[in-house]
Amino acid sequence: MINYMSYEMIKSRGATQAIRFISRPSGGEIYTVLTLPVDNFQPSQLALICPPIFGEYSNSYAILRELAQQLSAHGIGVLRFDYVGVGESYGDPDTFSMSSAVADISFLASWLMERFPAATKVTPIGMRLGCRLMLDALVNPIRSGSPRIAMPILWDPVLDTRQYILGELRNTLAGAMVIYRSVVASREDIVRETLESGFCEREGYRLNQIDGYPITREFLREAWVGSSNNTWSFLEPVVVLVTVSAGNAERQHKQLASMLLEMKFHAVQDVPYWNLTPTYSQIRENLFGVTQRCMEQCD
Amino acid sequence: MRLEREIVKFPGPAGVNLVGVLWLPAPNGPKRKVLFILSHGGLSHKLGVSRVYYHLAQFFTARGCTVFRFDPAGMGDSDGVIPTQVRQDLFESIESGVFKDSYCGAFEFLATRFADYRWILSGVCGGAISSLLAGVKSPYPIAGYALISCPVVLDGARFDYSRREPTPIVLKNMRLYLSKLVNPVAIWRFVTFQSDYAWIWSNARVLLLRGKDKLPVKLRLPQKTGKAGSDKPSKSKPALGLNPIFVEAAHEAMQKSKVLLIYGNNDGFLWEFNDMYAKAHLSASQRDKVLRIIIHANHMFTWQEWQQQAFELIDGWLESDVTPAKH
Repeated sequence: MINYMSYEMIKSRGATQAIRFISRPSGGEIYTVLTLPVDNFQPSQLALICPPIFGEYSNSYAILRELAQQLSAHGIGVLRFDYVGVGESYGDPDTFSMSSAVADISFLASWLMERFPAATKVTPIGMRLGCRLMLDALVNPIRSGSPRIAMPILWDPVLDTRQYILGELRNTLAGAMVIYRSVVASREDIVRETLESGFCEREGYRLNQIDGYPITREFLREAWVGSSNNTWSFLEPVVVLVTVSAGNAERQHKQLASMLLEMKFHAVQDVPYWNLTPTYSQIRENLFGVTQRCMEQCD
Repeated sequence: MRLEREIVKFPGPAGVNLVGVLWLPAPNGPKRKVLFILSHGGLSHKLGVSRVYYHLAQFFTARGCTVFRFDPAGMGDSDGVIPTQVRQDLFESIESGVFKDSYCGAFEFLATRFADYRWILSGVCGGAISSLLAGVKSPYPIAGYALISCPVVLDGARFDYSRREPTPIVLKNMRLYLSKLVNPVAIWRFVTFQSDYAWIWSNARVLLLRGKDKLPVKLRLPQKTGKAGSDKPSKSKPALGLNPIFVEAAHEAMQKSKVLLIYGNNDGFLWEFNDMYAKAHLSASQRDKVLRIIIHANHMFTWQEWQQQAFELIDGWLESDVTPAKH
């Protein structure tokens, strides 16, 4: 079980943080933050964190940093990064798409394994839609037989991108109500018009956006194709951690079981993180603890 | 046009390492000796909510400016820790200048490379007040402050927030629902638990409380207090008030530099600026000189259309109002 470490303990034990842009194979650069134990620049275990997107990315940033520091204080190297179109990473176009995010995850997993030849395991840890992107990215290394990809860990997974986008567009329309004082479009209108023409516009405002991030035709095409029918049965078991605040773990278990045929499910009592702006108590002792225990068990 | 991006580490308060991203204009593009400095945005890090600072950097580097965004101590990728506290107290600490020392570190670093530039401090919400409070204490000249959604009140868990939302904003919000009182679809949503009851109640409550405040004293219900003879204190809290630290800093900034304050008209902070600060501390002409309003914009300027309008305002203000820094 992880012993939660205070910031002072982490600093005394030591963790180094290297921040750099890494060139993307398809152009542009990925903003990466590599956190390593200060006394071991070639750790035997690594983690690749695949963050949420859009507003959830901002809300989660502090907790992901905290997770990286906690894991590195326990001897695990951690790579965090930003998707193009969401964080500091950039490409052409500079908008988010699932294919670019999946390609970057694949690339970074390979980069980690090359950079750290002594590492026996790279554990991908996904959060929210980052889980879906991570699972899609793991297809290639697993099919090519990479033994170094450890059992993925999924925090509060969002796997059905279609439902996710429709849910998030509800907030967009709530914001639009304040402007237009009436309903000017439905979520389905936004999706349809964007798929047809690349945008959905009403009186000078683009409605094909979530939390201010543009939703492109490409992203919608990717999200709508086979969104709810994906199963990842080719994978080894995955670990699913669900943050339980309102006792809905059973329902989530059922929903995920149809898509993740091999799943080790854990309902973790802890404060949610993706839907709360950070107040800088970014400790999630239970989530962190279960995560590290799962990583140790698959080592 | 390829921009130059550089990740920078520099020392902050108490030796912590702070992280920033420096964007330089393209070598073959326009050049202006203007440096924008931004840090956090509210409770988000150097990207700002909805990537607003990233978009600001894109806008102004394309126009030849240099933009530096950094994470203050405890935020984003910078070292340090922000103590655990409730949200209102965290806001209070920001509005009292908790990040001033982080800015000092940034200024020291930037002075080694950009001392001959016009420095413009900017930010949204908490980033705006942090920039203002740090800038007026800067040993280096600040040419201007372009502050978006800058809070003028001092927050804190000890204050009463029940009446915070300005009446015009609440009325605007409630009109949305009143217009649907006889709409069958809206009624169905309301009775089938699809409406945002918390939002409706929070707005209605403000109106009810404001109405209660206007009642003659003898018609008001007695205030809840502790039982007679008990030591329980009254539950009433003081109302939110104007932040004296902001008042002093704004005055100093307006004396020494150029100031631009941008608000969205869907942001209650605009009403607080006008009713609590401008009425008491600015003449009409002073207010008209510094204040710009973006129609429909919300507090954090989430939508890119609002961001674009704000950037264009700032660009025009740069050209017309901001003079070169004197050394």
